[in-house]
Amino acid sequence: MMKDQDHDHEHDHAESESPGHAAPKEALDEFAQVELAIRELLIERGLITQAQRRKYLDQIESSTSMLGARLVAKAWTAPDFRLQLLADARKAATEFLGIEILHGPALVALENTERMHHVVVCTLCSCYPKALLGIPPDWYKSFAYRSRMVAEPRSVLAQFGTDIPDDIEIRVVDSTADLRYLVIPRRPTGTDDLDESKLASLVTRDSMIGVSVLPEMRD
Amino acid sequence: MPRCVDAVQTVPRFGEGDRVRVQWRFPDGHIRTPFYLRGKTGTVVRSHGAFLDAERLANGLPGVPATVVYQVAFAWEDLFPAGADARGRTLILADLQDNWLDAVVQEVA
Repeated sequence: MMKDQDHDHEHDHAESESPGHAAPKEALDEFAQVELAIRELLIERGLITQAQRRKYLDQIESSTSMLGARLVAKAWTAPDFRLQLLADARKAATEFLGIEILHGPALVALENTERMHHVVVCTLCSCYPKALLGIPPDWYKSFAYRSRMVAEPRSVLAQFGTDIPDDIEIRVVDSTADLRYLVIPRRPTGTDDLDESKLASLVTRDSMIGVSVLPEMRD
Repeated sequence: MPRCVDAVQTVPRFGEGDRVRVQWRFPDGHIRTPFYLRGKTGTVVRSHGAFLDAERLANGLPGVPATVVYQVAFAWEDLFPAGADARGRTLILADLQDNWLDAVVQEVA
């Protein structure tokens, strides 16, 4: 944002410029400068390595909602695991997926049932279980979603094409602090014959945020 | 030297079902209590346990003493009384630090 504001000169970069006109150097905004300075210090002092940083960024940027989907499918098919996931989601996820998410924020799994539907929002910023769901979608960070999901949740869900019957309690979970939330959607009917990996392929990112429900499977 | 471990408040003040009111105050800084909940009364769902104090950490202070974080449920219609969305039962749940909550004496029905 700051970069765009600072970048207010009028010429068009896409057009060829007059010879001798040096391309303007993109100025780093304040946050980028601070990040660079701290990163260089950490590396210089041997506290982290460039390779560790790269690996961590790769892990974040390449993570998708597949890890969350595997957890959901496992919870659907293994009653013991379901209980573990509901009791201590971070521990269960770490052990099952074999990934290191112990240093991230605490994690809570919320189970949707025939009586209760959970949906997650972060009204203050954009807290999101990135380790399990990847990078959050833009709408999740939008002011409209963050404000309207608490003010008029049933209308917002309807806009996502999700009609929650009036006899189902809606629980909007505002991820305000140190916790991250993963919704366990209801298992669609008609999936009794599917194995765990097939089930995982049905579980969508949006169903694990709680803005959608999974469609029934038809023969 | 700030100590890494300090006396941690491990025993939650509130338990499931306790009524609590969010304090009506407006400090500057990185506050994890949303405006729309301030001054509102809700019900404790669970304690999440003790966490380093996010407000202190955000101000460059050590996050100790730690604070218990609770999940508190609010009736949606108490927060948005003029809302046009009142179909079925809706709750808003939020995670709030102990230092933002006051006990509510149960009203006589």
